[in-house]
Amino acid sequence: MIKVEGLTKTYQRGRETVRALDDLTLELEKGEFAGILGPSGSGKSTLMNLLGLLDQPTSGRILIDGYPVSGLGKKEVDQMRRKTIGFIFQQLLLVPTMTALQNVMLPLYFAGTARAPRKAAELLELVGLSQRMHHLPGQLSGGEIQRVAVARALANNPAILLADEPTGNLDSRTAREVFALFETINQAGTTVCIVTHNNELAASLPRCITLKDGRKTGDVKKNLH
Amino acid sequence: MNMLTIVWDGIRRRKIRTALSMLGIAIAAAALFSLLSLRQGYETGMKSELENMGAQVVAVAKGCPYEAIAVIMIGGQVPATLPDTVTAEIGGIPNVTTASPNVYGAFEYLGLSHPLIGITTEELKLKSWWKIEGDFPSNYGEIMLGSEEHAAFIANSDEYRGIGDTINVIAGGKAAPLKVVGIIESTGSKDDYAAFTTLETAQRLLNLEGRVVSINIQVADLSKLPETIAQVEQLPDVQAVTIAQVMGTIRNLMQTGENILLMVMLLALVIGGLGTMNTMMMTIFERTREIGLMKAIGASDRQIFKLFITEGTAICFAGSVLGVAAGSLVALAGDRVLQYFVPVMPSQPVGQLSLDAAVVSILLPVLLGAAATLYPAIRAARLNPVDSLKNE
Ligand SMILES: Nc1ncnc2c1ncn2[C@@H]1O[C@H](COP(=O)(O)OP(=O)(O)O)[C@@H](O)[C@H]1O
Ligand SMILES: [Mg+2]
Repeated sequence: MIKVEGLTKTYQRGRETVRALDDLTLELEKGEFAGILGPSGSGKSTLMNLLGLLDQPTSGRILIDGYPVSGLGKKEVDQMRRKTIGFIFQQLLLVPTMTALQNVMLPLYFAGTARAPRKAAELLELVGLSQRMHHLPGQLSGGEIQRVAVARALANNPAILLADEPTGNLDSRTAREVFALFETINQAGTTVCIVTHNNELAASLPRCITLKDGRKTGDVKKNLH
Repeated sequence: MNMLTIVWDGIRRRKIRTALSMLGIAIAAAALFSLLSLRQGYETGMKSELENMGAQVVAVAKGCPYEAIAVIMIGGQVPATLPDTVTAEIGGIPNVTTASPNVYGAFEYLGLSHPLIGITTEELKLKSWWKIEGDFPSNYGEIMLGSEEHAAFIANSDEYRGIGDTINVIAGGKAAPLKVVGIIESTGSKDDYAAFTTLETAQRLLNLEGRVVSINIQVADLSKLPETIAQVEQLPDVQAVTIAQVMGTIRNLMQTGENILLMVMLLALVIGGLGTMNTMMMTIFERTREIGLMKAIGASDRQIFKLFITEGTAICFAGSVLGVAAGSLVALAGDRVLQYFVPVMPSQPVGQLSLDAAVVSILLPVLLGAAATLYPAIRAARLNPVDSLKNE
């Protein structure tokens, strides 16, 4: 469902050229639950941003359902991102002055979805926060904030959920809870791709892709069943 | 949730800054609105004042037309006069139906100066709306008071209680007893603030024997006005001023000052606009991460642009509405403000609220606000989500 071919991203740092991603080829099947692992600076975030259509590659291409994204205009990319991708960040990123419910309603508003309040409420229920809907982010714990972020990422029924170290700022118990939430979402049919440093959690992933210096050094599929 | 929810969320986070840029716009809008309203009120007031003269043309002695107008509108020192034989000559011109001679001057009473106007019964043809209680002055030393003068004398004078009483005034440097024989009911014009007497009385008291200051003329056929004026001006030393010209002169007098004020106001608006631009730039700088986030969760460039252009315009809209509200107070208190700036004031209050002025005073700042927010909003729309999310 999402495929990258020869993906390369370079950054200019002064006179030096940093190859954050170097000729990466990879394919994620529909319904997969994949983890991206690797040391800090290995290009994991760069890959996620490219998969999330938030940035353009220096070379190589991304295909979604067989269609190259590079062939799309800006408007269509916006549309594609809105419909296909849900994004979750490591930083606990909610609009601080909006309630949990309003935060979840934001993507629905941008997509022009009708009956946004009901849908947002259902999503918060799904992540177990029906009691916290009208709380501001300041009144929520880190785990709760990240669950709001998950609900927000799911708002427009994306085909794929991308999460860049979603448990990085959480304690291990909370991290396990959030991780369990991803498993539930995956079981409901959504493709999930998650960057993690947490080896314990990574061990339970059906597929582990390892990066180093922008290159793929491992791609292991376990048959857990 | 709609766009305004998000816009309002942004605005309420920076209450003080928003309030300050609103204030800048409000001050400019208030000044603009009060100026425009006062101008309109003043013009309408002057127009009705001139209509209340009942004449279409006024004949005066040759000289500076401004002085002639000043005398006609506010009284004061008479610059030049005409022999009173001119009245009959003007009356003999075919198109002229009424030629009413006037002598303008003043007397002192109760420590204040009061306008004294010498007239004949011809004046009644011009002022058909006058309702006179008592008699029209017919003998030497008789006067008729405007309603406000009557009220003021009742309140402040011991010797005056109404028609039939004599007041002892000073006119032309001499003491003079004047018997009040009539009172004109309120007209809403400057006639309410004057005393009228016979032509002869005014001439003698003001040392203008055989002279008149102006002759108010009414014509039968307005389309022949230019010919009539030409005929009037053939008389030696006579110049004819039409009411339309007087209005034009007043407009000209005001125009210069007004233009300067308008420039100042536009400058204030531009400064207000720059303030809004600055506010919006700071907002976008502070909310860079949030903008990146919104883009990452599906906002298009257009939507981000709209959010911020709406925010800037909303600030200017609110500011200008506040400004118009504040400007209304100034406009309503207009007389007290305006009398320091203009030579002639209508007798009715000029303070009136004009819808046109309100529309202009709101629309202009809103357009300006939109223009000032254009650049910040474009900057916001073009932010790269990945870069803006990195920025901690
Ligand atoms: N905007 C940027 N400018 C310059 N270098 C960058 C930028 N973003 C990432 N990099 C570099 O690219 C490499 C990969 O970064 P990143 O994808 O963030 O790694 P990871 O998420 O695996 O820690 C790093 O060396 C990082 O310093
Ligand atoms: Mg990273």
